[in-house]
Amino acid sequence: MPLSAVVFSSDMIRGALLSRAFKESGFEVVLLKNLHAAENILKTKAPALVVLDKRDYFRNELEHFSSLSGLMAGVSVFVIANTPPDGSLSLRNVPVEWCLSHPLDLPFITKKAKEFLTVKRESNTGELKELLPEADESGPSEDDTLTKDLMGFLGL
Amino acid sequence: MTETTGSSDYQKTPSFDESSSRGGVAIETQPEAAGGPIGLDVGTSNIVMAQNRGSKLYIAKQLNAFFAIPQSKFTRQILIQNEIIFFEHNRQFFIVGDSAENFANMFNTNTKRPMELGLLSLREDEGIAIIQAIIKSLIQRPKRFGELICFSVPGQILTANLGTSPVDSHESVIKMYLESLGYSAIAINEGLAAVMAELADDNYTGIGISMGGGLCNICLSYMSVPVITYSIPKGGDYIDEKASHDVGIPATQLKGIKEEGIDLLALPRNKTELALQVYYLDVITHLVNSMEQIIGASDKMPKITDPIPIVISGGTAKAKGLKERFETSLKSIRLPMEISTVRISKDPLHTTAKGALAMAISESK
Repeated sequence: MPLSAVVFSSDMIRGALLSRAFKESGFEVVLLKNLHAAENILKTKAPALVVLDKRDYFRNELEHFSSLSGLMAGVSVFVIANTPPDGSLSLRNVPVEWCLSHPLDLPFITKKAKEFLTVKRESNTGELKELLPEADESGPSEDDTLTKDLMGFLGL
Repeated sequence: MTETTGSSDYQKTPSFDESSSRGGVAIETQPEAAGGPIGLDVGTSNIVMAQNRGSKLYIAKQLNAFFAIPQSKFTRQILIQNEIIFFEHNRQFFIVGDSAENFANMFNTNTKRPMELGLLSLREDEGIAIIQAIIKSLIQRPKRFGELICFSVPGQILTANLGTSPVDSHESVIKMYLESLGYSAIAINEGLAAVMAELADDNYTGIGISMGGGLCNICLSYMSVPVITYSIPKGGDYIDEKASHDVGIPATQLKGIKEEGIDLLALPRNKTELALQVYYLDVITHLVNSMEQIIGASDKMPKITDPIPIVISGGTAKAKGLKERFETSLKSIRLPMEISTVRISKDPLHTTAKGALAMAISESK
């Protein structure tokens, strides 16, 4: 099943390019312009990845997006920008990766976004394994099944 | 205004059957009933429709022109007997499409056009009605309500002072008419249509250029996304009119000479050929320079590492030697990406309609 991604871009053409590139990379993509629509899409779509093309968004729009951290459990945010992190986004407890790309380097962006998701997944899996009891090497046990079920449920 | 064709349906549909060896005109007594998405090229010179019918690509074309004659009972009878497409308005018969040119030739004068520089002309009162009549002669109401039709529109026109002229109202009028017939209508940029028709093997990435009668349309597409689109107000009509003014031959006559096969690489044999070559080169130079100016200055360009192709379509691209002249001119400019090849589309006159059909099929899935 394809991972779902929501792309926010204030520019129709850049948005269409990002949307097409992520689709080609196997994502199911929703493209949106208005960051104020984020609340609704986060509630209804529960995407694995939010791609934010930061260019030309107003500070108040970015502040509104930042205020939605509570709705982003399980969501990774991938920010595409011309400049390094500048404090305009302050997401709490949300994995965020910045990708500097000017002009848009679409193969690089999608590759980096996939790597970001993979690293995040691996790190989550490690944390989860630490929390769970070690499996008995003699064969599958009830605990093994529980681990698999839990990891499957979390999509790990 | 009433629309009359002698019966409830138009009687004549000239069509190009791609399966025929010469691609010649086949006259059908009734447009073949067919379903499925349609591609429609609404050009300044011609209106072309494309549709898949069974395993064949069906293409039909009409000249986007009209000729008005005084109304009389006798004339009406003659028009109906000869299956001429016409409608009546203000005590005149408006003969539209290919037949208009025949009448103009008979009267030793020119046809009029409902479109100018790629857009509906504001000079002609009946322009919209004429376009509607021509479109109706090419497409029927859809079998299924909401069937997709994709029609071509020009890019914003670069004027001499680099301002833009709106195409939205033109698009809106065509869309409203097609929707009134029962279609779901979407627009495609003419340059993008060239990409959709010709650059599938390049993942729809490249520059599509449509050299039409009124305009040259340019689109830089990345994976079918039209990143940069615009048009320049020069095309086949510009060449005809300027050369006509210089050598004193009517533009329609020059158009005929041009279409017989002007060779842009050969030494001109007379002043007419010289004039045609001069203005052809003027259009090519303007086109190529505009690419440097617009594509080179765009901040929307994604990073393109591999060289991309250029495909050129449209009636004006049919001149012999155009590819070579274009390549020569291209060497004089700088672009932010490398160009792999320049090629003329396989079927320049029908490329836009085919690209629009490809988009309609893709969107209807």
